[in-house]
Amino acid sequence: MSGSNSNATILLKRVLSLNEFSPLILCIDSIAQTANYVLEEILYNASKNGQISVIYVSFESVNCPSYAAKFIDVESVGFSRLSQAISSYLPSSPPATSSPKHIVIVDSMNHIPKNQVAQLMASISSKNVTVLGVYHRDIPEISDPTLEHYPSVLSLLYFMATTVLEVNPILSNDLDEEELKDELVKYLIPRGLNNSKFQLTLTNRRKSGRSLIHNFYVDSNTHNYEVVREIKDDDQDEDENPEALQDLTTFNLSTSTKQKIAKDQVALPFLEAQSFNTGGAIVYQFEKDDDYDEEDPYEDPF
Amino acid sequence: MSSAQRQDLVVFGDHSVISDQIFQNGFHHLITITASPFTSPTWLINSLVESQILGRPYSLNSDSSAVQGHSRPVTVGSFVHEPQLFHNALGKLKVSPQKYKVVDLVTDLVAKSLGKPKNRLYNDILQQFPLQAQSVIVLEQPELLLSLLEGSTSDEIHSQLIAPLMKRCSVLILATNIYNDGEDTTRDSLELSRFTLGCIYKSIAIMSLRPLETGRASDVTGTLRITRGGACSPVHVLENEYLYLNQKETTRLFYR
Repeated sequence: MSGSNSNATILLKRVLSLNEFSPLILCIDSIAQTANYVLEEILYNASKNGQISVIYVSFESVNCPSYAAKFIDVESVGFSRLSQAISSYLPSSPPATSSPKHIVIVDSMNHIPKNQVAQLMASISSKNVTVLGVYHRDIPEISDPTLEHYPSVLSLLYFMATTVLEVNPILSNDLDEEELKDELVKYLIPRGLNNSKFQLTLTNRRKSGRSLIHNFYVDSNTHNYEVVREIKDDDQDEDENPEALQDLTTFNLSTSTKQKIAKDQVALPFLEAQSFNTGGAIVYQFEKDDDYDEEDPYEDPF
Repeated sequence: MSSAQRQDLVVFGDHSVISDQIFQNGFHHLITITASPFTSPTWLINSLVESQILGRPYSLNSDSSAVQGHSRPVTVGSFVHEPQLFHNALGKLKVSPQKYKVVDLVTDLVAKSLGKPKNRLYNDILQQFPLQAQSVIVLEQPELLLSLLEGSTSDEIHSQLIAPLMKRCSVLILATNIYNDGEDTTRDSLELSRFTLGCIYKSIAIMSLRPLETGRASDVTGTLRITRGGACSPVHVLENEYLYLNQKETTRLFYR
C-alpha cells in the first residue's frame, strides 16, 4: 500500500512539473474551490524544473497575473483570431533543449463554443506546448438548437485531455457534502472554502489507454501532497460489532455464524431471471390471491 | 439584542471595509453582493459608498476600531432605482453630493435601445461612467439587461459591460439578485445562473444577503455572509457572518 502511495505522489509531482508530456491538462473547478491554487502549484513545480514561458488567455480576468509573460484578452483580440494570436507567441520549430517550456493557460474554457473547441485545441497544441485549461463545472452550458446532438464542451475536453485535475474543497467537520451542495445551489459559499489546502483528484491516461486515478490532499503553502486513504465502507459493514447492538432493545439484533451462512444461501427471486434456461419466457407463478380473468386478453401474463 | 453585541463591518484582514492595498498596482477588482427580493442590498450599497467617500461607514460602524481609509471618487449606477433614491439616502448619511456621481440607467433605457445595435447601447452605458484610476463604481442589477435587451446573453454582458467597466475603475461593486429554481432549465434561467456564477468566479470577495431561514423576526432582518470569491485577493478576506437589522433610518450589525 505504501509503495502505491509513493508511486502516486511521484506521478503527481511528474504531472505538476510537466515531466509527463501532456498537450492538454484539464483543471475542473467549482465556486467552492477554484483552480487558482492548482495552477500556481503547476507553475511552482514547472519553474523548479526549468525555465517556463506562460501565455495567459483571458475570457474572465482583466488583470494580467504576475507569472504571465504574455496576456491575451479574447474580447480585444476576437475569438476568430485567437488561435492565430496564441500561435504568434509560440515557437514554430522544435526548440533547443535549453529553451523555456511554453505553457498556455486558458482561464475559462466554458466560453469556447462547443463546435470550435476541437479546432482551437488542434491549432495550438504541439509537442512544445502544454495547454492548462480551466473548466468551471457549475456554470451551465447554454444549448444550441443547431448542435443538439453534439457532445458538451466538458465531454470533448475530457476526451482530449491526457491529464485531468479536479479540485474540491476539504470540508470541515461541521459541513457535509449535502449541506455544501444545498448552499452552493443558492449561490452561498460557506466560510472556509477556496482555501490553499484542497483535495485534488488526478486522472492520468497512459499511452496504453489505462487511466490512473488518485486522490490527494494538497497544501499549496508548503507544497506538500498527501494521498487520501480511502475508507472502504463494505469492509466496515461486514465487520458487524455485536457489542454495539447490545442493550438497544429487548430483541436480539445480532446474527450468529449459522444464521449468516443460511442468509448467504438464500436464492433471491431475481436470480431465476438470469439463468436464461427458459428461452426468454416470463416466469410467473400464480398465487392463491391472484385475480385472473380468462376472458381478458390483456391480462394473460404469457 | 443588546447594544453591546453590535459589530463593525469589516471585510478585509487589515480591518478595513475596502482595503487601500486593493487600489495599488493598477489592478481592477470585482466585489459581488448577492441578494434576494426579500433582502434588498440598498442599505449595504449606501454604506459601502459612504465608506469610500468618508473613509469609514459611520452609519454602520459606531465605534472607531475600523481602519479609516482614503476618500475616493465613487460612481453609482442602478438598473432598478432612480438616482434620487441614492441622493436621498446618502444625503441622510451626510455625504456631500459633490463627492459622488449617480448615473441614471433607469429612465427610458428600453426606449433608448430601440433600433440601436447592442454594442452601441453597451458603449453608451459605459460612457456615462468616468474612466478614473483609484475610483470605485457601484452597479446594481445589470442582470436585468438579460430581460430588457432582446437576444442578450450572460457572456455578452460580461464581456461588453462588466469587464470594460472593471477597466474604468479600481474596484467594481456589483449587486445582483439571485434566482435559484433547480427545476427551471429554461434558457433564461440558465443565462441568469451563468451570469451570477460568472460574477462569483471573477470576484475577490462575495457579500451574500439572505433572509432568515426560520422566517420573520422583529429583531433580525437577515444575514450577511462575507466569503472569498473565485479570484485571488491581494489582501486576506475576513470571512464573517453577521445578522443585520434594518431600522427606519439605520442598519445594525451583529456577529453570528
